[in-house]
Order: sequence, then structure tokens, then C-alpha cells
Amino acid sequence: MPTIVSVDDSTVPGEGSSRLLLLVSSDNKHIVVEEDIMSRSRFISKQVEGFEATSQRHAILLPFSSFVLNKVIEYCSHYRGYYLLEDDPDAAPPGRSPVREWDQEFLDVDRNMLLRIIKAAHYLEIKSLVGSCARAIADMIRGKTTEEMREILGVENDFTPEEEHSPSSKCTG
Amino acid sequence: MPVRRIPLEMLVLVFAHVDDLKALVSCARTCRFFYKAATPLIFREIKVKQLYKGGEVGWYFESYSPFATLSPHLRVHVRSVRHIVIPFGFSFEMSRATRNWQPTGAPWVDFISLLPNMTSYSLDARRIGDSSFMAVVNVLLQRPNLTEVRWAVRTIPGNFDQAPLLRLHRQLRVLSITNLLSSHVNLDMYIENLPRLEVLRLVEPSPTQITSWGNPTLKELTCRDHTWPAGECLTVLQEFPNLKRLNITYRPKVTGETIYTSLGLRHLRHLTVWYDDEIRDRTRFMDLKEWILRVAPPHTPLESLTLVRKNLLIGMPASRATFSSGHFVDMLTAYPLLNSLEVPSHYVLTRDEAAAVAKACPYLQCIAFSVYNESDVVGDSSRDRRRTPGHLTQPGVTFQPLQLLERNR
Repeated sequence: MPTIVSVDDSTVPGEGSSRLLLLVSSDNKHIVVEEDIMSRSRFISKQVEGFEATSQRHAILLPFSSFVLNKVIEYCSHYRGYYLLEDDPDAAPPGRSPVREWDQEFLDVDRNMLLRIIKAAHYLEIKSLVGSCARAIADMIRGKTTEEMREILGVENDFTPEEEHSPSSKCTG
Repeated sequence: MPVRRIPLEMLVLVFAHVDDLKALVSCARTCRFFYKAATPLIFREIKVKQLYKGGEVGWYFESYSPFATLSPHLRVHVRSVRHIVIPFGFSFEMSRATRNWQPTGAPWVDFISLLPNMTSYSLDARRIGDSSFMAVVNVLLQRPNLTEVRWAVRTIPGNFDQAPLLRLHRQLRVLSITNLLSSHVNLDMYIENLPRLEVLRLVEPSPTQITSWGNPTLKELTCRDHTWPAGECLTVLQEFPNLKRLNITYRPKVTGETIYTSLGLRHLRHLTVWYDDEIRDRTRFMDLKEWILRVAPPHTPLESLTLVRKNLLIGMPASRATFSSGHFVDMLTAYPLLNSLEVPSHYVLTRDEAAAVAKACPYLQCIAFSVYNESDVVGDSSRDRRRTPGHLTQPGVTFQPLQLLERNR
């Protein structure tokens, strides 16, 4: 799926020393952000490499709303210049660790928003944010019963009565 | 936004952070989508307990499925098997029944062969007969995907000729052997020709077993309760020049022993040293210090250093004078990248000394040590964060660790 549209160079002030990117959200909001901030995203980095190969800069279309995009940018801005082990493609995967304090406050949002952020982070390939969201969701469901979990995550029971009482189901319960 | 709209692999990632098996099972029973994501995690690691009863082998599983109902679509998820053999009762007959246990043809062999993706196998058996052990090895040899083997077996003297065949496992990365004490078992036979071995854990190895098992690929070595004096131990360690993590027992040098020609482990990042309670005088401490500096020469990128004093005698706390705080601080200056330090109770530092340590090791985030309540020592304040290292917990001894030097970095 192409995520790049050609834009007039004048709309993307990325030719100077401070390189900027134009991100376009699904609700057609144009957000200009410094390339350096978004370098944590492997998806964006790959796009930028593509720009350098073709010597043309484009806007990057993203399939989520500006509200979610702004949250992601807020995250990337906060950790700008920081080394996070999770984002290092050469590092061994880190073990389980608690959510960072700042991330806890940052992710103190409702379920829908949390799911939107993790989806966006996954799309943008920001592993550290995906990991923090995953841990936050895991914290929500830890120690909950099946019914409570359905309620928290808003899912419906789509098992047939036979499946629910089958030995295979009992295997996992 | 409905949860079902997030990709399956992301849901798996979320569930991977749920460390509670019951919660995972609840997840799996929530809906089909969750079932798909949670099931591989539930069956990723299974524990099999095998019970001997009157010479017969009984079976039960601690996982959520008895073997008989572990359907093929679930078997493919099993990556790790922990096999625990428990003798039921302590009579001589029971013991003999256990020893004579023949797993070939027993349900577990069939079971193992039905797990196509098993990469890790762990056997924990208090007693196991030779033929049983050989059968275990033979089964493992047929598993080309295996990368990790651990066994903790209390062997009965016998012939373990088959066991070294494990070296044929070219993919083996982790090998952990506990209590393999038969003196005629030569560890060379286990360890040589394992080109991908990265982690080796040995407990109570016999000194005669060590001759030439140098392995440059090894990154982590645990070698506890050996009998090598300081110099010999250094010679052994030279066989593993690329170690990053070392957990080892220190034994003082014997009289007349000439030591310390070692080049040291220049890539070491984590060092844990266990030593006996006998180091009570300053000279002994200096020997220990010198030995540590030989194992990890100055400017090794050491990130954590843990010293553990074994066999603490209740009521006989070593005095602060024994460890010579000045030399201790001096030793730490050799490791400027240190960020975690854990030391025994008598390594109490005055606040000035602690400050000197903090200055020498700018990355130090945590000094963890147990202290006896003395005035003006770090750790004295009830406001200090406290943590008792599990391996230091001894009945009757109250540890009051720790002072954390938090830095605003």
C-alpha cells in the first residue's frame, strides 16, 4: 500500500539544516515534525532513506488520526536523543521490566486510546512504545476472570456452547 | 476501538507480558481471537512431574492438560519441557525401583517425540539409573532443534558413556549440569565440539574433569562449589576468554602456589564471586581483591559486581576492619563502568567512603549490602530502601540492606 504522495517542495521545509517531515493523518491534518524526533520509528526512517535515494521529499500518509499521531509525537519528543534498548535492532530483546514512570503517566488513557496508540506504534515500528503499551494492557487484565476481561476489553464470547465445554477448551482452562 | 481490530501478533505481544498462567487461561477463554493468541503462550513451557510409586511410573502434568488430551494442535506450541522425576517414598525398594526405571518405551519418550518444536529440555531427578540416563540422552540426540539442555541429577556411580554423545548436538547453546559427580565422567567429553555453546552452568565439578575444555564461544559460565585454589581457577578461566558473565566460587591460594599470570577476562560485564567465611583477616581480603583484579583486570567493562560470603556464622559478624575499606574502594576504581554493586554485611562504608565509591564509579546506581546497625554507616537509616538478596537470607540472621545511591542522571 503506497503511503507516500508527492507534494510541492515548498510545503515541506525540509531542505534546510533542520530537516522536517510532513506527516498527514487519516483525518487529513498536516503535521510538521523534525525528522530527528521521529527517527525512533523504523517505518519513518525507512521512508526517509527512500527520500534520500530519490532526492525527493514527500509527505507521509499515516492511517491514524491526528490525535493519536500527536500522542506518538509526544512520546518520541520526550525520548528524543535517549537510547532505549527496545529500539536497538542489534540489541538482545530485553526481559520483562515495569513500565517506565513517565510512560505510565503518558499511557494513563482510556482503553480505546491505548489500543489506538499501540496500533499506531506497531505501524510506525516503535518497539519501545509498543512494549510499554503491551505492558500497560497486560497490567489491566492481570488477575482478572474471563467475564471481567470481556468487560474490560469490550469483547464478546463467540465460543459455541460445545466449544466452551470441549476438552480442548478445558485444556486451556 | 474493538480489540479485535488490532493485529494478532500484537495481541500475542500483549499476552506475553501477562506472567500469570491463570490470567492467560482466562484470556484464552474470552473469545476465539484471544484463544488464538493466548494458547501458544500457555503451552510454551510445560512441566511434567513423574512420580514413582511402588516401582511403577505414575504420571501427572502440572500444565492444564493431561498428556492424553494434549491434542496435536496444542503440541506444536510446546517449546520447553521441564521434566521432574520424584521418587515417592524413601524406602530402599522405592529407591531401587527408581534406579531401575527404564524410560525407553515409557510414555514420556513417546511424549517427547510428539513435540516437534521443543527446543529446551530440563531433567530434574534425584536419582536416575545409568540405563535411564542413557535413554534420556539418546532421545535428546534425535532432537535437532534442541538448543538448551539442563539436568540436575544425583547420579549413581556407573557408566555414563552415552552422555558425552550430547556433544553431537551442534546446535546446543545452553548446557547446565548439576551434581554430576561421578569422578570418571570427563567433562571434556561433554563440552568439546559444541561450537555454539554460549552458557555453561556447572555445580560441583570435579577438579580432574577440567583439562582442556576451553571454549571461545562461551559467554556465560557458572562454576560453583569447585575445589580449585585461586591460581588453578585462574588457569581454568583463561580457557574462556570471551566470557561476559561469570558466577564462580573463590578459594584462597594454597601455600606455595604461584599464581596470577592470567590475562584476565577483558570482556566481562557481570561478576559474582562466592567465598567462604574463612576470609576474616585483612591479608586474606587482599588476596581476594588481587584475585578479582586478575579475573577482571582494571578497565574491564564490568557493570555489576556481586560478592557473596557463604556459610555466615550467626553471632560472628566479620568486623569492618577485616576487609580494609580503603583497598575495597581502591579496587572499585578499577571498574569505572560499574552500575551495580552488591557486597556482604561487613563491607559497611562510612558516608565518606560511599561518596568516594560514587565518585570513582560515576555510573553506579545501586550499592546493595547488608549492614549491622552501627552509627554513621550507610544503610543505617530507616528511610533507606531495603532489599534482602534471596541468596543471603539465612535463618536467624536479620539483614538490613541497603543503601541506594540514586543519581539524577
